[in-house]
Amino acid sequence: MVETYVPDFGTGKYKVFGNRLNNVTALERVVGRSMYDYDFRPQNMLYAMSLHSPYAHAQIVSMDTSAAEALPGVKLVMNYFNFPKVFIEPEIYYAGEEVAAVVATDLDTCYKALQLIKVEYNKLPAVYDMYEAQKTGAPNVLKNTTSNLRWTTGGFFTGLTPEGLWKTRVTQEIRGFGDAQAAMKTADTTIQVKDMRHPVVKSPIPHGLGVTADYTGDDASKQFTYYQDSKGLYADRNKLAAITGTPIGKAHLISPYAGGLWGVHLMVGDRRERSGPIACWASLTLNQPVYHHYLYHEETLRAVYKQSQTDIQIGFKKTGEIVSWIEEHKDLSGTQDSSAEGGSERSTPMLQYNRVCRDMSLRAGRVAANFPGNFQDYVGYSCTTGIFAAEMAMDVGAEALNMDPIDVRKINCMKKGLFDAHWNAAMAECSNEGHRECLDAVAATANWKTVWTGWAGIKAKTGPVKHGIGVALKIHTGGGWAGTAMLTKMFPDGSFECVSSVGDSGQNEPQAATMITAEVLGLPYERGSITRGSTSHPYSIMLGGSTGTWNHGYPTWEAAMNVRKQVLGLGAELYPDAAGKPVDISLLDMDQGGVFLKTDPTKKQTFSNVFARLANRLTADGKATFENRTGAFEVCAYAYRRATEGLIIPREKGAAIWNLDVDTETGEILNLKCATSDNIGKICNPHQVENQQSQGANHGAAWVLWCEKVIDPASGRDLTYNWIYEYPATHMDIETKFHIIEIPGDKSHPFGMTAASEGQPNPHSGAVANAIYNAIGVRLHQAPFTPDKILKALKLVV
Amino acid sequence: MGEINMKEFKHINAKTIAEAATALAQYAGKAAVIAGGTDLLTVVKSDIIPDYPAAVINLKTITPSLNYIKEEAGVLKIGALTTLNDIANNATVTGSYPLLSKAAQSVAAYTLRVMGTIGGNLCERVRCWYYRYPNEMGGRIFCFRKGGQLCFAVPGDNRFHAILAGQVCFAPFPSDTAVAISALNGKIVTNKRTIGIDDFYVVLGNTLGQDEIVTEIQIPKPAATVKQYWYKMRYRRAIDWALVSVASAIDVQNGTVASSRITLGAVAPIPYRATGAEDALKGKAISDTVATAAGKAAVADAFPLNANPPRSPGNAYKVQIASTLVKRAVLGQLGQ
Repeated sequence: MVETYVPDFGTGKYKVFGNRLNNVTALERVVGRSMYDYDFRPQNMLYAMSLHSPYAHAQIVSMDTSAAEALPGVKLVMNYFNFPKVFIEPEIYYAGEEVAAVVATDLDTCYKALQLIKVEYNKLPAVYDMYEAQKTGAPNVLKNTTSNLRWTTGGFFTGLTPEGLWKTRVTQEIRGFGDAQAAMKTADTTIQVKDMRHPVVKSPIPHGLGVTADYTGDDASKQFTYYQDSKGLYADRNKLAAITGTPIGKAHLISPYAGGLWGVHLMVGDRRERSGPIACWASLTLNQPVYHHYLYHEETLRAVYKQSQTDIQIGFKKTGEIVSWIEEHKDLSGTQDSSAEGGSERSTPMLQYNRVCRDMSLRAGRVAANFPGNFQDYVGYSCTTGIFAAEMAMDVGAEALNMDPIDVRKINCMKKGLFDAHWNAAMAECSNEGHRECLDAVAATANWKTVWTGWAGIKAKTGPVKHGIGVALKIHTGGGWAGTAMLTKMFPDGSFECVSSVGDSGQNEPQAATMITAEVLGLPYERGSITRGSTSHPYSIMLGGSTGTWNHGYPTWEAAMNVRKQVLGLGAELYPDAAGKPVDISLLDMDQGGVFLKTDPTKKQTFSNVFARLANRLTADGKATFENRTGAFEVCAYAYRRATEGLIIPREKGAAIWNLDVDTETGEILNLKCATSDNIGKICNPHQVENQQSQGANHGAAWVLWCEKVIDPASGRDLTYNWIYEYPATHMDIETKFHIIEIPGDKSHPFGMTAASEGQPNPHSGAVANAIYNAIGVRLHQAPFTPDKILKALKLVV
Repeated sequence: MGEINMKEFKHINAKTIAEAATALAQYAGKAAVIAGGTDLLTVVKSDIIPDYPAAVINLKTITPSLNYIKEEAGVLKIGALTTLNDIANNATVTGSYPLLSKAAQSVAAYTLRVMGTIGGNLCERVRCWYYRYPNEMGGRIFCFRKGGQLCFAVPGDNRFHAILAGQVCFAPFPSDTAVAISALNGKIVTNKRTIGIDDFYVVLGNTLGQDEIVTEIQIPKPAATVKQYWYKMRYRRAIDWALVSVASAIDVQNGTVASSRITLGAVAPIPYRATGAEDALKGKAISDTVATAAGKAAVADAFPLNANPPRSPGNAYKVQIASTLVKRAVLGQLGQ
């Protein structure tokens, strides 16, 4: 019999959920005890460093490595000519791309040897910017192409059911549903906003980028151990193993600590990622462990979030309902053209504003350029740029309607149960709502009713420093379809252990998993722990992102429930009924004191007694005959979840309102204040989600205020090569107030928890843009909104 | 993040100023002095200058210590190794030299201010992204300041660069405290001489000789009638260099400006004395009109660099900002 656990939303019945707990790894990280990939030093480990191209586009004609190879301590010099599988082709596509690597006994020798490598380049025409790359006459970045712009395909849906789902999906260049062109003609008011641009910015780098590969086999087994910071241990292990053709079962990855918040390290295996291939092939060649880790400047070069360009036309009824949405969205793909998440931002309006609209059309493209870095779509799950444009367009629409922009959003915001336009499964559902409640929360905190003075009020503002207020919604398309597992153990001393390879994600796995387990078992959180950090632990989700607690919460709950069932089953033997048989476990409960009858919680059987039933080790008077730390007695359960059919995807839902001041004589933006909210279904640890909200504001706003990645127009080199030139905000720059909304309804999760984390940056860019307009009365569509642009918009600078 | 390779150099703990100077002379321009090290170590780690430094001379081991703040005979004297945090919070400084206190408080962030020294801040290398380009990322950029032929900001992205006095190098001057000390008519004392701060700096750096070390900063106590003002405009309040900063010390007597010193930061390769603005104020009663005229006079000689396609916006916007900040300094508006 499996006990049915009845979720109890909002009654305050939970003992563990809602407690403000410190991150379980915080102390060890802060004091430097945490171990990252570069802290593992296998015996005889060698070091590797890369040589980077000074040119943005060039052929490598020849390379003289003889002087480097002759340097004492150098073990191997790698380049295209001797390791084509690592360097792929004798051509580089962006300034800073790796062209060679030195493997040596120490980093200093590596660095000295790199200076001795002579490379003969044949420079080729280059273009560094997606806007320039689309112009007539721009050089083609990628081979065998006639244009840098490639239109992509997605789902177009037909056959609306009475339930509001679409029956049929076809793949084509125009995605969406209905007949947007025809519907636009029925609109009372139409608006069109063109050429909205989100800047290319640095991705947050939550952990170091690099790999130590340790090839220990000397035969066909090719056993590898990798040390790498990862949030998707199994996925990264598989990709690393693929580099050398190592059987997955012979490969092992260790990653005790991964970064938190959003952003996932899945760069390994990308066509332009070199760290993994260099470390793996060097280790295989030299039969020694090889460490290749990117230096500070290399990291900031590689991790970037993309540029975008968007045109949006929206048709409204005069009452505010959207009747048609037509969008063209392009983003910078740099020199790569693969991204599972690349489509997410394109479907953003179809999710975010699909409550009443039945006619939407979207054309989406990717633009190649000789741009430094690898593009990480995982920031905001690639929704940030799409939401940025959509939220500015919605503000334009609200003004055209002369309506409160919050009201327009409430009329049109995402509805539970509608389909997802991006994913292959047409029938995927949005699991619950919450946008309206999120809007209400931030509106109250930001004092919207008082500060918002209507569209006419913008013109009435006086003085050099003008106040502005702006609102935006957010979603996050979220993943979480992959399998994930948990192994849970409980011991006679009333403690428990979770074992999983789960990374930091969602509401902070592993802490959330430990809290869920404690809640189910009725034990104090402090009596539990989680062991993780290698592929020797049970499989966990590949993505480990926003859906972590949602997705991983299910097997966590199931394993805990199984343990609970076993413990209560043992305890039932200590409570015989009138017939001398164990009572039904539904009559029992458990807490830190042991197992007890619900009708008489004062008479408890200790866990020592309960676990002794495993071997019938009780004396006649009911006492255990063993010490509770003998270790031979434990209850254990494993649970695995993999959802593929009929998937219900939780989504992140949230809203933000920004208050700020604009100095109209200097272009300075001052007094940044953010109110942000999320519906996460059910909270585990408020500290964690509030921290995510704060960091989301710090990143999302900074990206449109000052965080543009700057490329030298003459050479194509990245001039923002460190955090000094391109940085997120901090708590000292922005005052952020948090709201956690708990609206139950995600039937796929035992506690109704929905997604959290990755989408936190998403609403802020649009809200900041709208607040600036509210302050100065001039709309800026091309971020970042730096003083030069504000002064130009105000016609104080030509 | 990953391990940073460090250039090899000889480390010398100097016991006296003379010993440090001797070591500097011995290495003939290839040695660097270190106090807080917040700037030098980034220069070393990024390997932006070939063969530099061959030696690093530690000034923290010098006795008697160069870490002090005292007022003697109407002159504030600050030892070169005094931290920026100490200066920002010193009662004498906050009381009579608030301009300097606020400027010191605006440097970087707390963790850097408790390490960084006033001497280091005054001698900080420029924050030009061409000059500082790390060697490991495709090779360092050999610009005019390093002995090359070109200031790469001219054909490049110059949004943060100089609008005034650039001539051959348009790297913006980074030190906040130097701007404040200039407005306070301070002097720099070295092991060889005492020099007015306005004469200390030149477009390509400063006038320190190869064996010369800054040992003390001296600032005459301003009269009670002098109004001091500091404003540093920047992207981020938490930690950032100035887009434009302004420091002013204006002596108003009997309703008119008797004298003034106004210095702009981050608009030139040196702390830029806005003498045009000072002239425009002299003998005048402060008003919106006078302040606006002073602001315009401050940037009368500005020559902003061109915007360069595709994305460089140029730096003409800094002219508007500098003019506005000078106007506000005169009016005492919106200061920090």
